[in-house]
Amino acid sequence: MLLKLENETLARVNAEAAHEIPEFGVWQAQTPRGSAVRIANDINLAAEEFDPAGLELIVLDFPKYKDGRAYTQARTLRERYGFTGDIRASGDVLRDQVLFMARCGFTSFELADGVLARSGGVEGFEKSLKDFDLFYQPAVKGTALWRLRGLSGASLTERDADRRVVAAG
Amino acid sequence: MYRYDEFDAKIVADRVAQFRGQVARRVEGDITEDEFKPLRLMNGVYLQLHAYMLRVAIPYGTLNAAQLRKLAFIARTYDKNFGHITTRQNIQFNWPALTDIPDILDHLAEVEMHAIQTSGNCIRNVTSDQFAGAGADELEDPRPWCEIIRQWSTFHPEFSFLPRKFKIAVTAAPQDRAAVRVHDIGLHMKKNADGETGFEVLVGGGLGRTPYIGQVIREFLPKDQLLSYLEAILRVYNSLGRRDNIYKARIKILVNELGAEAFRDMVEAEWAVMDKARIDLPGDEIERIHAYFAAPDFENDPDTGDFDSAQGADKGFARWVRHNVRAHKQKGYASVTLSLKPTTMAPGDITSEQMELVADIAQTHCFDEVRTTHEQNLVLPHVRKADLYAIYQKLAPYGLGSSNAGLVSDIIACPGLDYCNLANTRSIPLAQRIQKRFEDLDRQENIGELKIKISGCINACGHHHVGHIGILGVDKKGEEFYQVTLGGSAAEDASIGEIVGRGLSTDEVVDAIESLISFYLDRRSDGERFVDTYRRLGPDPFKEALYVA
Amino acid sequence: MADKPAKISTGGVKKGRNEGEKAVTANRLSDGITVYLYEDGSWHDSLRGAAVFEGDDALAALEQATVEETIVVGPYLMDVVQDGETVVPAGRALLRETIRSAGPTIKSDYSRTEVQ
Repeated sequence: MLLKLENETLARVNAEAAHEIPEFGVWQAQTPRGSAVRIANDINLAAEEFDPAGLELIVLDFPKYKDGRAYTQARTLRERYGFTGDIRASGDVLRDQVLFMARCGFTSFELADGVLARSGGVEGFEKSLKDFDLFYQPAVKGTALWRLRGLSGASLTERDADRRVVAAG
Repeated sequence: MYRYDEFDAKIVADRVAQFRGQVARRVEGDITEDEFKPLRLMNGVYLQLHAYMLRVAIPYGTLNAAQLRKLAFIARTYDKNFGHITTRQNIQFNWPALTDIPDILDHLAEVEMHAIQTSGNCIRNVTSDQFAGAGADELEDPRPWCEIIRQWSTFHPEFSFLPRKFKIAVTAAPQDRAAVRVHDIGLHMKKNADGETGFEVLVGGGLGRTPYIGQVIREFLPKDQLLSYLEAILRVYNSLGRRDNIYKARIKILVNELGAEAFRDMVEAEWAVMDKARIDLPGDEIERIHAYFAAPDFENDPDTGDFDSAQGADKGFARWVRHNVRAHKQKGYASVTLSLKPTTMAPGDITSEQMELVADIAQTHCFDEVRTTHEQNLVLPHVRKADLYAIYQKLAPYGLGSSNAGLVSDIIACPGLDYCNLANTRSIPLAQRIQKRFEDLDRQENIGELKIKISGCINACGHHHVGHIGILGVDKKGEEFYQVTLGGSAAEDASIGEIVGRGLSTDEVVDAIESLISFYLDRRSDGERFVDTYRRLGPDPFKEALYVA
Repeated sequence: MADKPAKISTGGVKKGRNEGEKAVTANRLSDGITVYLYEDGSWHDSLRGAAVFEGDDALAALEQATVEETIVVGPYLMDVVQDGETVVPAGRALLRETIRSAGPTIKSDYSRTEVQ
């Protein structure tokens, strides 16, 4: 069960399951290297010579949702290695963490059996994705509040329009 | 103090709505307790022995009168008419129903308060010096930086599921009242050779079952690069901190396994490649936040009224002034510690009526400001000396006039087995027995500064490792026993206390403390505190004294 | 089923052996109050009338309780003894369970009954 985030909405899509995608070591040994890789969360990307060229999909893992290493991996992939393809969260992926994931650069979410049903469906996930629309700190996605505050004199609603401009820019 | 703008208010309101939804889903059975527990913890909701416990954030220990009155209202309406000040300057309520908590959060939001990140494996409430902005010894008020850290860390998407909890403290005075050396990150404001103010950065301090004093990884960090540097530290910790063993998951273990130098190199490497300009605040935002902490409108050298004459006439007041009143940077003003350590209550407990009294006094006499302290007391930071006697007289009938700040009865104690799910032994009744034994105020005054800290289990919430006398409760086949440590300190001379010998039974421990203190009184040199004499003589003679009892 | 590790009690005895008389205790989901399982399957805040089980019956009762996640949180078996008409805590976690059933020892107006 895969949800893909596009244009602020989530859609169900069909795709290869995470376990069918080659692990980091296997992918590194491939010639030529494939377009998808699965990176375990104990691989410290800051210490790797990593080149995402040719990759379209990187799958990161949450063995338990409380294990947050993949948040740092996703940000590192986006902000340090400039990866622009799909970053998929797999494993223990739940609706209450989906906004954190999206802000760190995740763009798709592979859910275990039964999770969607007891999460209020796709709508439930979308609702959690919109729990907040103001963020104190910058991340991959979401403008830091201090940038909005810099747009002085405007009210919350007036600034909302500006915020979209800032976010796009 | 900082006031919310419409954006801050909306974030807190959104959080209440989110938590209300999460509680509803839990009650409906859509999420399991396993899934819900971290969600409620990140909003300060624990399940203790008797009931839920809600920990409300008091950022860097600063409150106004309206907030204190709201806390009194919550205690009266949803709890048993009292709250408990914690060692991280927060307040917790011991009896709220889960289903009432969303409403309680709505009430808190009305006065710009919340319970965000008061528990969970995330960045917790930032703590500071309770005399910030009032002490003559500080370089500058550290609280604007605490507020900057508060905002940056709130719902940080990358650092909400860290290996373990993460605590940051900031101080700007040479005398460390914020215990920065026993925090995951301690920030000590200092001047460099060019006379600029910045942060000395300490990492890896902490208590718990493996206590460590923090190590300096950067002598001087320019102030405006604080957030990017913190982000680099947290990123290294989130990637490499241990997750295989909850007792080895704090950053102190990582720093000590890698060595402070190797850890610092990793942080610096991460920091070097980071887009700092995206993370660090621009000057105008730093100024905007600083503006909220401008000094209050002090009178220029106000008359001190009956301050001197009342001390001559009222010995109790004179004693209170000696111990609970502290010099202020502004002439004619003072800072006051309101002791929450009478023998009649648990250390740190405060009733609704007491909160309301303090709110009234703060509004009338203290620029609408109150502080909580990590030693579980309250502080009125800026009071005219002329008002002190009148304030003192109002406090006594409410049980807030104890003249024991910093003395043997000013004990830090965790809630212990009377409330806590993790505790092995009770802490509060022991604290009360020690207070009772040393009830005589002349005797307390003769003993001088002595910090007793009691934890009911190895998690060390009562900071026993850094007590001049630390007491750790241990369970021995279902019986309560107490192990004594000596020579610890949480201040600028931070040290971890040494365990002295076997555990003592409930019947033995108070006598043993008295023997230690008698030995100190016999052997001290002029002006020596208990801990000074201990450091001079070493543990052996004290050990002997302990078991003579 | 008898071999299954059961969470007998907490507070120093994480996994005791399933020996002797047990009651099932937990905290109520809605308000967190300490509760005990009664013979008819209901939960009450007084230990006095709690159902007492032994052996496989205790494990079966605990198993039943763990599925009642929308009613109680964290059920486990605690050691008890029957004292005439009433049930009282026993065993290694005696102090902890006495405090859980009677309230904090420090201030009687928070307690349900006086602790000796």
